[in-house]
Amino acid sequence: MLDYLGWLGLTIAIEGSAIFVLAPRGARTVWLLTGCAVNFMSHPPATWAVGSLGASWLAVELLVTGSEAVGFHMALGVAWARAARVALFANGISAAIGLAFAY
Amino acid sequence: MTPFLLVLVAVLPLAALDSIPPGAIPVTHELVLEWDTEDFPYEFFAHSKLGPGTQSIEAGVPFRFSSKYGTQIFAVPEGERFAPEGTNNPDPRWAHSMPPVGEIHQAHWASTLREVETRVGVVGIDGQTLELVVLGEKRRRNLALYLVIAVAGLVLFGLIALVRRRRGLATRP
Repeated sequence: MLDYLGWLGLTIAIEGSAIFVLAPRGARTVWLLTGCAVNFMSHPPATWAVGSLGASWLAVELLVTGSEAVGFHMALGVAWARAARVALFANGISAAIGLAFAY
Repeated sequence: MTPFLLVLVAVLPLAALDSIPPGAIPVTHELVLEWDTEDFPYEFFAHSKLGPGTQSIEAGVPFRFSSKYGTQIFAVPEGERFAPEGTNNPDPRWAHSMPPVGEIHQAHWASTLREVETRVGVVGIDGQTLELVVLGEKRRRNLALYLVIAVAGLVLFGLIALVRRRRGLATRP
């Protein structure tokens, strides 16, 4: 399972960097922690769905982005549009890098 | 140099040379053979020229096989020897066949699959052909790590939301 932890760490590093860029100066720590929390919650079921159930990677990515947007809205108290932008930006970058790894 | 390499290859256990490529994890795949002892008064053996070697099969007890090393299952009439004296090779008279399923040797790195057990039934012996069918399959998975990480995320998420609420931080645009 070390392989899995490595990929989880890489995902958090990439998405954490993206979230750091978008976070307000005084709230970067809490935004980063929220980014870690939503990734901890979304990454295992997403990996299980794609790796073990053979679910569509794109569908799972969209579900993850949506659920992380909900997480950002609930934990950080930001507006829905901003939460969606953060989730889309972070997941878009990690998905693009993931695709680059795959191909 | 060449003799050294030849000695090295001879000494290393071949199973240790089976590599799992990057991006994959190893999976243990075993077979369980079932047969009616009245219809088939035989002893069964799994034989591979390399790798797992020769194993005596007990009904209902899992055993390893290898698609890579071409494991075959042999039916030997009770009281007979699997291999002629002085050799490890099976007697060519005995009925045999390949397992009716390919070995699952590895899985995608993200897969939780760890073990596969395939139940195989003996349904007939026709000359030198052993007729086998797949009766069922069990797959064991490891979900514990995923669960631990997801729960840790949920706890962290709850703490962040709780602290923000206690501090009365308002929603920001």
